[in-house]
Amino acid sequence: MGNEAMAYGAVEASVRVATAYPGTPSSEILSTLAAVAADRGFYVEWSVNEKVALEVAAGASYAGARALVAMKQVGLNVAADPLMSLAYIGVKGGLVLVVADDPGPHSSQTEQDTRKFARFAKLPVLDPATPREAREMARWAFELSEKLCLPVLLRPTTRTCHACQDVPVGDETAAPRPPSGFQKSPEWVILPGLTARKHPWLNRQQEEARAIFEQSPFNELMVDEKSDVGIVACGVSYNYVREAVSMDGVNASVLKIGTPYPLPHGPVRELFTRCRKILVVEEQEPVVEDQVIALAWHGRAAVRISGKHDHLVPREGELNVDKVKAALARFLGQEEGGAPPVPAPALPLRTPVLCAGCPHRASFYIFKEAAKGADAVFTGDIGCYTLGAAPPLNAVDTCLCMGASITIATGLNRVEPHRRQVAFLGDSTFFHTGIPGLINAVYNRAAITVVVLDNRTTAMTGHQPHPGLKRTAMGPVETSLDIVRLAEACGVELVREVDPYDLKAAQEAAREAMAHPGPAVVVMKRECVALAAKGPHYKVNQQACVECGACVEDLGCPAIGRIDGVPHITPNCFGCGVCAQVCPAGAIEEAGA
Amino acid sequence: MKVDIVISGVGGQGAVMASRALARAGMESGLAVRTSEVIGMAQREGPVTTHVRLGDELYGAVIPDQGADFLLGLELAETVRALPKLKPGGTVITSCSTIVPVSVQLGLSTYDREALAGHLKKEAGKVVFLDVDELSRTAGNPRTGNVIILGALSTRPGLPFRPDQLLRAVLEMVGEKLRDINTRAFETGRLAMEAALTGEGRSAPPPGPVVVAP
Repeated sequence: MGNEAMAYGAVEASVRVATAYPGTPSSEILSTLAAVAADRGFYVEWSVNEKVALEVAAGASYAGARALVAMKQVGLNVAADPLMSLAYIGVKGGLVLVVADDPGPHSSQTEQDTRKFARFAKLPVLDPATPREAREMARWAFELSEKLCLPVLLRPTTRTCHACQDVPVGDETAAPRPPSGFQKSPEWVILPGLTARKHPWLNRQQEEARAIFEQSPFNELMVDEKSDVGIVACGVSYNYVREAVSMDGVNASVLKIGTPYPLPHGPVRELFTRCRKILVVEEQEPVVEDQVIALAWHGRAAVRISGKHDHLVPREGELNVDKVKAALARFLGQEEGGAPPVPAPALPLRTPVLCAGCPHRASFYIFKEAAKGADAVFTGDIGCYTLGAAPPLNAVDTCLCMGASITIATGLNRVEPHRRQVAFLGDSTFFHTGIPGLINAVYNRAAITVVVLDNRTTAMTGHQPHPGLKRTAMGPVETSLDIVRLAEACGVELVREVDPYDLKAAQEAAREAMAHPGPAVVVMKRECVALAAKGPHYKVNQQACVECGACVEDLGCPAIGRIDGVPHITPNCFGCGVCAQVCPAGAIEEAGA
Repeated sequence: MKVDIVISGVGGQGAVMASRALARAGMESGLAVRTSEVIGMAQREGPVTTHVRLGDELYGAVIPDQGADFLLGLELAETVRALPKLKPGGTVITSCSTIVPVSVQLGLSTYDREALAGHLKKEAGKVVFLDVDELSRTAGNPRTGNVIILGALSTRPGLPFRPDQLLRAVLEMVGEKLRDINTRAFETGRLAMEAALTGEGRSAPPPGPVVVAP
């Protein structure tokens, strides 16, 4: 897997400190490193958020150690503050940020392009085409970072992170590098005077990076002497271009770009001398295309440049061979071939849902019941529980970004104090960016209810640990942070902890919290079903069932179906027993009973 | 030499595991391999499609439309959803098992098994339906559908590895305790495929829509 390949590259480069906050598609980078960290004598951590992760890695780099920090693209927004300043301060030990983009998007709030972020931060960025190249780039990025004294970004996309490839495993005898240590100097203290002095240096480093990239094997020009057509392809798009060109027998010179910013000038200029028209193929933003256009303008190159700006290459979503073939056909003025496939009969709608027995389903049900008759707004957050937005729960009215459930609820409460705002966020999200919002709500006296869906893990991204557990990326630890005590320490006057599988007690706590005049916190504590042992199976007692449909229509549990209109429970049942408590006829019972 | 295989199913059915086994077997045969799938939200009862490419020279990990030599389906509707990936004349090996999503229970969409099976018969070059639910019960474990389908695939010509190589790749990925059951599942799939092709096995999907929207 690409994520494993990048971890391998970091190990080969003698990484000393690796940090991350999980996020699809980046999460397996750190979990792969964690699996070998103790053996190889380096340190890894799941940090509480991406800003923290980057700062920890920066500190390690200040001390001369090689450090890696991994996150998904929206994580870089959280880490933007340290990143922008770190570009001016610079680094000592090689510091590599692996930031995974998710065009599509498959599991993200945005389709932002980290290459553009890198350019904004004035930092070099590498864009791998394959897992194999990602591993080589990961290894080399540390060297590059030390040469430039700058953090370096490595930006894979989902199709590299989660793609597998045969990758030869090389010599792992990289010499351990003792860190040179932190030396005190005013150069580490970002005051305006230092910034003014470092800014010209940072700008010069752009040209330095470009000069290095001119020689980089990650960029390659494949010349077709017979053709005056050129294609520039960046990152994974290079694969699609190669395949489309070979399928359609297109004659063109192809320039593969693996270092999109700063773009090397040499191979692009050579393409200008050979080609009359050039198509730039890249996912997301026209990062390479804009630089190619600028270079052509400065050099007065007589060449037509196509791509995003003339709408030949889509700017949204993922590319693939089919889209690239279509773009190539339009670019070359050819017919787009192929009859459209026969439409399939209506397919069932299959969106992801909360698992059978998921405690979040119970929590949403509890608050919906508790809020009946009240005018309530449920603000949501990022995690599995965002799926509570789907029918039949329809229990998520807003979702913006990590931690925003509490703060959006607070803002709504300022304008609509007559409504009840209930904010839902997970345990890991609470630690990530929930706490400042909670303190703000207490300090500024917002009458909101905060529900921490504490399933004892970071479930959505693959069950990583967090500060509420007695486990770190390095292994078990003695202590953990208690969310109830944290909420109390933040000044919340009403804090309750309940088991969402106990509907009666939990509903009582929910009502009490929603009636409280100030901010209140309810911790819904119950382990994720993917980690917990199954309970007894339940079944519908056909004689007692009144076919009201409450179990099916109020819960939307994937283990409850209907046969000839009568509810029945499938072997998929987790045994949470929530449906038995919801059934008004008492018709759902333990299968063994 | 190049073989492209698409595997479709529902989260938890083992499509990803099956793709890794195929890739391992391909690597054993000295070929370049690529696999790609989207994981994350898809795990939660969502559709999962994974691509496996085996060959001498490969580009990206994603198979173009109408590019797959084989489409392996672990769930009937998901097989139909992935059908645009099948090459004209390509082979479909699909389970006739159905996993009815919550949206159907709620009346938001429909699951017409007959229409879906009919579409596959009409539009796919070669299609073999296997009663994987029944076969996995025979094999002794209801969660071995993915390995049964791999066993069925292993009987087909045009693959770069022998059946025993594919089975070995599967067994390398499962725990000691599950080796026997997976070996049995693989063999069950092989036999069912051979029977289906000679017209002796149960190759037809069970008739009639099982679930209609209320």
